Amino acid sequence: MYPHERSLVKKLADKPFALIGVNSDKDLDKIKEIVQEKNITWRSFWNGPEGTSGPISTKWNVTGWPTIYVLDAEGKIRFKNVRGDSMDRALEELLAEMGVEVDLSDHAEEDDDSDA
Amino acid sequence: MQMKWLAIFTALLMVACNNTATESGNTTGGDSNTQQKTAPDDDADNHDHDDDDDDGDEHSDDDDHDADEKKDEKKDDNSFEGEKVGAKSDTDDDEPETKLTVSEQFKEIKSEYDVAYKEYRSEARKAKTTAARSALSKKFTAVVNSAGERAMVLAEENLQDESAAEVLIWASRNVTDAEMRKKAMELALDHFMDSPKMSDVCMTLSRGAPSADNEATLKKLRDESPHDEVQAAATYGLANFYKGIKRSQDYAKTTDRYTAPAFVADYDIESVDMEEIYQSLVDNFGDIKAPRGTYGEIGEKALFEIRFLSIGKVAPDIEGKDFDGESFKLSDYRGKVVVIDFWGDW
Repeated sequence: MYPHERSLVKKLADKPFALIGVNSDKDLDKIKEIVQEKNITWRSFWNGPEGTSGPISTKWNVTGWPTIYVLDAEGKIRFKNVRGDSMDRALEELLAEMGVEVDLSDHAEEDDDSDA
Repeated sequence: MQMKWLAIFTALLMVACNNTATESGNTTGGDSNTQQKTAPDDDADNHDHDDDDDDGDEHSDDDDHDADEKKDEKKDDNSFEGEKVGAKSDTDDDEPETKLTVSEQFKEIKSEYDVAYKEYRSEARKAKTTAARSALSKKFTAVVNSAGERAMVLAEENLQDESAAEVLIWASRNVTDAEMRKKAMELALDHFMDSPKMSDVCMTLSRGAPSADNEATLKKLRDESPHDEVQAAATYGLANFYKGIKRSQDYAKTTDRYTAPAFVADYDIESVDMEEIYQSLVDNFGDIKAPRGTYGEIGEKALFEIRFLSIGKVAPDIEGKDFDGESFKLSDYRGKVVVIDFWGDW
């Protein structure tokens, strides 16, 4: 996940796009280290010390991780749980609706990078 | 570290879903990129079915064990049981069973399994190579096999005893051998439909490869069980059963490599009124304790998701703090395409 997301964030840096995390790790210090270590460049809400039982994931009824929502510019939910290529296609489609043409097809190579 | 750990758990989960992730309604396919993980607390050590939640932890391992191994292990087990019971001899197999109740005998089988499971989990986490993990898995499978066989013998000899329900249900969820699991399930359904223990069966039926039989049994338990707890679990089981079908159909649409099994592909899932099912959890079973929280809470959360988090709805705002304690809102990003990623590094 991380390399694909990092690459998306980089590629779409000057486009009307944002990747927002909702992190459910309990230990704030530890997750701060991981953010450094794995070069997580995007912003996340922290779900609080209750981790997976924290307020945001509870309200959104999230029971599996990761769970992905993709919103259009109006804030409407347009896709759920798209990953990898299907996430790329979803983003291309939504950006195209705004008149922004992007080609994310060469992402795939970077997806194979190890997370660990 | 995340991936290694996930791989182990995913393997277990895939097997728990009747051995093929691609046929399962609970996982979205065999592609490891699409596997979700559950909350870390769920995975820690609650393989006992009483604590399972819907993404659960039922355990079984793959079926590729051989008969010789089974036989060897069986011998060891007899001696093990002999020591425990204290009255067993090689020539007189039946005697000890008359001295202990079905529940007591089952407790011994189960505790042997539990010890082996705990050991397996802890060692598998430490194992560094695939070969090492596979060896551990094989060793554990042997214990599960012998425990499963003894559980089945115990249950089949005592079908008139209410306690056998528990044994069969345990076997239907934990035994390695798919045939044995199936047989245990069939016997449980034939003899113990009215047992309060059938709550646990609902979870198994909702998680495995979806079938018309599973759906019919869940409906029967919902409509005919004399126990509210079982009716509630069956209602929730049906919700998860349909949710799994929907997820598999959606996954098949977006992924060329995955084809849904015929039952799943042909199911007219749009005709199922999920709101009605969850509303029934709230209205009829609101106060009944679920594996986590109450069925009322589960229903309310699912209804919120359907009403406010479905495709086409404007996402509810999120207000919170980032890792540095700075507040921000999801709506700050209105006007942009936004990916929200619920993630965790465990």
